[in-house]
Amino acid sequence: MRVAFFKYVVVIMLVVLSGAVLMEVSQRVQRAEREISRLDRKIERERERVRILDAEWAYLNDPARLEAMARAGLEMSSPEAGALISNTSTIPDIDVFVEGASSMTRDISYQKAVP
Amino acid sequence: MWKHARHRAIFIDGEKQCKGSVAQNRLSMLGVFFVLAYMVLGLRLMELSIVQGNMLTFDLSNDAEMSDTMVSKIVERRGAVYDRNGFLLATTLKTPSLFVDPSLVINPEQLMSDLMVAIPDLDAEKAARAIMAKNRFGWVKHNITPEQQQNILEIGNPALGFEAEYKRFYPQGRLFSHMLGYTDRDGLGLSGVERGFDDVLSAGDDVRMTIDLRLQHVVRREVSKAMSDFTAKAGAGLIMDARTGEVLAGVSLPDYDLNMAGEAKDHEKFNRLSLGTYELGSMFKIFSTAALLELHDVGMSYTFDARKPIKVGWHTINDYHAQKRIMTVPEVFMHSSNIGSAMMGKMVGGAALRDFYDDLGLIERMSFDLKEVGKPLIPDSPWRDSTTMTVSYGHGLATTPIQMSAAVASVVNGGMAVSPSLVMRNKGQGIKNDVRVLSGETSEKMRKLLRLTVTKGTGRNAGAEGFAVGGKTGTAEKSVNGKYRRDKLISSFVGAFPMDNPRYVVMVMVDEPKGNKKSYGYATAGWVAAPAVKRIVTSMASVLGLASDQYDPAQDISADLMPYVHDRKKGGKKLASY
Repeated sequence: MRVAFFKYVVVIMLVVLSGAVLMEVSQRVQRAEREISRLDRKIERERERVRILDAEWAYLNDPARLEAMARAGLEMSSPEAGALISNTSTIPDIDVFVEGASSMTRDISYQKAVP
Repeated sequence: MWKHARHRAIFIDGEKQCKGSVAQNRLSMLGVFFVLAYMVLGLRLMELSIVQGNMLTFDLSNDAEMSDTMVSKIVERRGAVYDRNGFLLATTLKTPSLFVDPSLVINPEQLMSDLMVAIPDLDAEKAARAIMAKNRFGWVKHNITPEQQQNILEIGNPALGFEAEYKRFYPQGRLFSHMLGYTDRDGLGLSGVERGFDDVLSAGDDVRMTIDLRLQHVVRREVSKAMSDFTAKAGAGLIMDARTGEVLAGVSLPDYDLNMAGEAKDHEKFNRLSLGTYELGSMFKIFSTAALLELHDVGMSYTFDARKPIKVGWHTINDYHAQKRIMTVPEVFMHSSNIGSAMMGKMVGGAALRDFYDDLGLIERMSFDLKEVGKPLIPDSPWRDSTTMTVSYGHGLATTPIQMSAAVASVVNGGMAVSPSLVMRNKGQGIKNDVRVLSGETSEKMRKLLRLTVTKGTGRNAGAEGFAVGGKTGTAEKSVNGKYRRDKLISSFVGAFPMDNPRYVVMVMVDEPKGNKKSYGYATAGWVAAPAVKRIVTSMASVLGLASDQYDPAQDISADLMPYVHDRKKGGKKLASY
């Protein structure tokens, strides 16, 4: 009688316990699934945002626009054909520059005059 | 008896017990059932209110965004297009489109005025029709901007709704119009690479073009400058890798904004680079001269009598800037003598010249990555003497500029056939350029001649400082209603550099330029197209980092030809280069 009672108690406890564990697991699965779909949506959203930003970046990098901005804002112009050289040792020393000889010399001679 | 009684007693007891335990069991079972049922309900309640309630507190605001609206999964997102350096040229974005459920509209006038404020560029008539319709769904406007969507949300009218739709977006607008092309609303490629590689793109794969965005900009800038300087009708320009045939830049002007392709006019949509065929004139002297040097044992000192125009049947061949003297091969080439070239052609012979042109890919329709490829206009075979002679200086046959550039690349790159491409291939799957069309020696001679044309001849205005540019002018009269018109020209220049081992072929073509003060009224190639090529080469140097001190004028390859050049007068400023 006692043994039988004890057996029932154990069995019921096991049933309750396993039920609780099962529920916990199913809860976790549901939660995880929801989290996955949420993250999937978020990733998709971020990807879309990255795509838009990529497109915007490409749009802003329109060379015609950059060129106009560099000209207007930085007073820059395209280098002349002879300006790009591979051997830097052929560049003459600052002393060799003559003031006003070309637009390049102006700043340097200015710096020399005002130490 | 006892036994019996006992038996009976047990029997009665058993019966009693039996009846009692059945009721008791049923009761307790019912009890257990209810306890369990309430437990389940309790737990479920706990689960819903506490466990899952905690999870629902995440960013609801973000989830409400339209971007969650899924585009119907049947449509694959179209692949993107990049330039050779991975710069984005075309992409597909999800954009909201606005629809209306007319049955939910309470005050159509109010809604219309709200919409006009929210979306200033709304097609009012179309929208009004959608709102007044008797059905339950109508598009108000496709692909609205995020700002417009925000405005609509602020109206808060329940009759309005959004659906996400794919929209093709071209960040560079009109810079790539003819090469890249565009799609219709359903994502079907209608022109350019969008059409040529529609199967790849619609499967969701990306495409990388051979074009360099920066060079594309340079060519477009310089061709449009040449056009505006000489108030021309149209123009085209390209840069090609002389060895691989990769098109590094390809421009046809006038062009159009790919994002508004529907509004483009036909003359803007026309691809002058690969679809338009033009008589490009004297450029063909490159090929007739190469044919002579390749097929005949003719030295540079060989002379042609260019003192008098040649009469062939009813046709008279003239030199536009006649030297009226006996000329050597380099002189014929650098002064672009029609008479001399015609004689060269006659020496080569019609069949051989035609075969040579064919080897260079000038006779057949070119195979290319675009579907817009024009068929060259070539006189019917066999070529008689008159045909052969006119064809030698590029009269009476028309090709596309890109085909011409590829043939020039084949001539200067050492003699290997070049087939142009516009889309990068995977390693090992590239177009092979392993067919020899002329010998290395002939190629070298041609490079010297082309360089000479720029140092001393008709192409002087193409000479970029620090680079050994070689090239040939081509000025052709346009045929209008079957008559050639001296006032309507196609002026073009094809150049290559560095001439000792060419890497790039640059071509510029200008349609109907008009002379200006600076050009002394001339609208010929040497004045119109050659300077544009020079400016392109100069800008290429800074974009590609090409050093200008690699070229030594003392070692110039054209120097070898100087003994064969006898100029009576020093090159005047007025070069009327045909």
